[in-house]
Amino acid sequence: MNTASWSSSTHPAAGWSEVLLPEGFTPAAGGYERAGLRVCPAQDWWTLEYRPDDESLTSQAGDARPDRIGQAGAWKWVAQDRAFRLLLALPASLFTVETDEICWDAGTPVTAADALLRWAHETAAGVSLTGWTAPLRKVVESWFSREQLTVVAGPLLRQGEVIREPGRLALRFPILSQVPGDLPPARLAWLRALLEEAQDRWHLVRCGFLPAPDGAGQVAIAEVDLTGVPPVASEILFVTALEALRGAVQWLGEPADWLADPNVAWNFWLSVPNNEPTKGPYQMKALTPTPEPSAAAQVPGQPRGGMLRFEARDVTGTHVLEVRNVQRTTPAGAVATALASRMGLPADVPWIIRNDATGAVLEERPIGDQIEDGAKVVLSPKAHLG
Amino acid sequence: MNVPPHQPAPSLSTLHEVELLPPYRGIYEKVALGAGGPEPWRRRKQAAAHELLALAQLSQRITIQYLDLTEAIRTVFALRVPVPCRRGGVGPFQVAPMAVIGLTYRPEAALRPQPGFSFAEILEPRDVFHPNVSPSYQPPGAQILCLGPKLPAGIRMVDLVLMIYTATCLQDATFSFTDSAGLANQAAGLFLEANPARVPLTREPFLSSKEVIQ
Amino acid sequence: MTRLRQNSSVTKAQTPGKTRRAPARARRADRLPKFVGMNDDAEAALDELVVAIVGTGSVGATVALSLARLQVGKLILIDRGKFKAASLLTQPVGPECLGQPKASHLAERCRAISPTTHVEAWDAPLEDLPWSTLVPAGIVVLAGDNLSLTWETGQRCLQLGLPLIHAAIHGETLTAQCRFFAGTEPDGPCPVCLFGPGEFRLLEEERVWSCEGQSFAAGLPRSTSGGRAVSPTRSLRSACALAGHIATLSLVRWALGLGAPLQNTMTEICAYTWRTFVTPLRRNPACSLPHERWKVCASPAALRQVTPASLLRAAGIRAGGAGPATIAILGHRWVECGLCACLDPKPVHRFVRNGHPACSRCQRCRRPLFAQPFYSHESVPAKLLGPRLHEPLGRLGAAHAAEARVRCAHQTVLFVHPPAGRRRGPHPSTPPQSRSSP
Repeated sequence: MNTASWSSSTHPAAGWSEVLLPEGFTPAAGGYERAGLRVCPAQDWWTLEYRPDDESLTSQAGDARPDRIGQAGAWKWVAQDRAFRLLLALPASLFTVETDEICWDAGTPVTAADALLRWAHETAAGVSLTGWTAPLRKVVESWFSREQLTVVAGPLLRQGEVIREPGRLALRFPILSQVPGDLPPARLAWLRALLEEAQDRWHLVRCGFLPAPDGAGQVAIAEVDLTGVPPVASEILFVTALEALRGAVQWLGEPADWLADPNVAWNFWLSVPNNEPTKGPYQMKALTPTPEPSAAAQVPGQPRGGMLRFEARDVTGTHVLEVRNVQRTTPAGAVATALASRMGLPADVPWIIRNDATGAVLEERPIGDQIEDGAKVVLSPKAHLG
Repeated sequence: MNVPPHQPAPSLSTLHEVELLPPYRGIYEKVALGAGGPEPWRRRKQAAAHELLALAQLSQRITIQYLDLTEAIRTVFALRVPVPCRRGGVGPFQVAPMAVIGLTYRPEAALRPQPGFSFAEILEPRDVFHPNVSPSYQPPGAQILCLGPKLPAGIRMVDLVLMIYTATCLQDATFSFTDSAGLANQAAGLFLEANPARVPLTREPFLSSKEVIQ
Repeated sequence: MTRLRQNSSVTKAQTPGKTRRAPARARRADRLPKFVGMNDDAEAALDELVVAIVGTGSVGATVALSLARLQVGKLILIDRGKFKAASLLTQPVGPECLGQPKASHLAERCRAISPTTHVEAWDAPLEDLPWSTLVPAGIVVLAGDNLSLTWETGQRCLQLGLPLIHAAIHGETLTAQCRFFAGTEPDGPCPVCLFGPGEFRLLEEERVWSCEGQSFAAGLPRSTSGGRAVSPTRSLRSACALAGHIATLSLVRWALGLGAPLQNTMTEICAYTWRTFVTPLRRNPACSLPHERWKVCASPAALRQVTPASLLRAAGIRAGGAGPATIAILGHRWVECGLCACLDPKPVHRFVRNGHPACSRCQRCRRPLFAQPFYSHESVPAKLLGPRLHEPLGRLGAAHAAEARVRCAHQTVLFVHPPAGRRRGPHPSTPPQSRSSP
């Protein structure tokens, strides 16, 4: 449980200049600046921008958006004013002058604000974070409940993971577990544009592509990297990042699915997206309806590592789905909920999955541990009312 | 950044790792022995007692006066928190510096959502004037502190203590007459709505890092 | 003019001066089959059968009426609801019952069908009923309309070691499900073992409280109010009847030992496909309900004459010994302190009946004394009673007590007075269950 919510303060303990001026910042347009790091305080979120003296490290107008997927720290490139800027947004409540007893610099305790700003500067500049170790796994796991790593929104189902290694702490959710290798270039461009818009829209969240684990093709992911975060802010930032990711995944999931679905035929895709930064809400208009779920074509191909493929039908036999790319670690209950939504079944009753071959009801644990690839399952309601 | 490898300082999510010092250790050993009920419930009570005593050890804001785990978890503690008071509901508005709270955590609270009024009673002072505290000057006279319409199943004791703090000093209090949960003391709600400058009574957080050091 | 035929079986006018003959009473043997594979006397087994039915709506009423036609020994019907106009759509009732309490009305019908069946009706929520209500039952059938009731029923059956049949219907898919929980072992499954995140979400939605005007009449904020149906069960009468009949047949099979044991299985039928599944039910190690079994004993005397110390002794606990022990007098609370207009708490040290706000009067201000919630105990630690351990409960304010519960670290004992009737156990062919009722 997020115990940080007990703090009632909605403002930093000190005024902005009181926090920043002693740290060597000087007032600059829009905020305060020190050694290429510009800080713009605000009531809810502080925005940090990194503008090093070395121009080669910045992005110029007309460049493709640089990629920071997998890099330490929560910096990301955001489209603003016809260029890309390296930005980091942090909750304002983190910037207090209370002494962080964890961080010492030559025998002097440093404030939470200073620790955060140093982290921001070092991760932006690519300085090696020697001496930092991630919190113990059990400590990290005490910050959230397991269910929060599963995003179920209607038919959307995504299973996130916490990446915790001695020198790394990150959260990652798949947006598309498989980007089809033969996806037309225009669609791929639209998909990239969608991910970039999500990156621009959601604080802390970075979106992009990674090579697939099995080396075949790529996957689209959303992540927040907290490597090097000062311990005083680790829990709050972790919880904030998890919520941001869950929101981004819900926002991205369905449109990304449509873009990657070869069964969806839109003439709209013939043109590539405008490289101008989008303004206003992202709108998608379907020109042709998606095919009936029961008419979904069989998709040939080998099962991917970590992914499951099976056939699902509802208890009445009305709806049949060929289900692909379900992460094996996803709890069976979440899969049932997503399938029920996809099939348009009532949402006011929990659903269970039954192995059609054995009749066994799947338990509330990873689905990959309970059925094999290519299995046939039946979705049944859990009736409780008489 | 110079960050020596070490364990994080105690925080509210790691109270279970705090090593209890005497006399807290002695209190824990005595009450833990007296915990009754089924095994999972006993363990849960013992863990909650440990966290509560750890909180008292770390913070000077709370002093445990009584703790019993026989059936429900029952504790009486003194809490250094400004308390709005008004004798009989009509006297001058005053702020008491401290409250004595009786907190009960029943077995069903670990399993099912519970109403917010089923946990805490302000035992002292006896003339609390607070929109979410039932007034002592009306029957039945108990000063029940309502922490919200519904609290989730399995809420931690320590979280309840923190909620009691923020609710009592009005950092997090409901006195909106449009709130469907209602008010326990309408007169107090009207008074504070007319005097917004008094709210909250303090902005101090429950636990400052200085207290953690001690 | 149409004349009624003589000897019409529909209506017969009574000839003046002649007493009407009593209607012929149905004999169960006239229609009871000789079940394949059963050698024992089915009639005797049915005569001894005591069934409690929790929820007498569309599914529960089907079960009750079917069991009445089997002329079982006893039926205990429990339902807090009344018939509404919509009840006619799915429940086996007529318009004459509108506005009537469900349990009572159904009880009348059951008695009319089977005068030899003893029928009890409780028009109240299960959580308000004494524990001894279910003790005589040999088996419980649950057909409720909210998950809180499922929780409460499951808990009681676990504690009393009662088999439980949970019958339910999902109207949109015409799926009937019947779960049979054996109840013989505390480590067996219970209805809450099957709860997942969806159920807990629905459970949370069922319960609604307000901060305003909460009842302290009992000296303690009421937090144990039951759930409410978030939405009515939408189904067809036939589908509800299907679920009810599956439950009835499962019960009969259990009572008479017919066929393979059904304990700890779920039977599911979908009327779209007619596919039937019988799935094993397993204990969930992380079940939210404590799987503890109570011991049910007869009180050594009327409870008002018994002292708390003697109850502890009867439960095998030495009064004043080491180890926590608690005593609960059901329907009462132990009140240490009370509040009045004086504002200072006053000592009370008595049992006070729930629903009674004033436990006595303050000697100073003469105003009513109300139980102080923090110092009121539903289950009081024995050590808090002090010297009152040796006073009769009647002198401690529990003159009307009918049940007491003593709990120590390893056991919970329910004392009942008068002793609950012996209940019908399962057919000898099924594994015997441990019973501790007198």
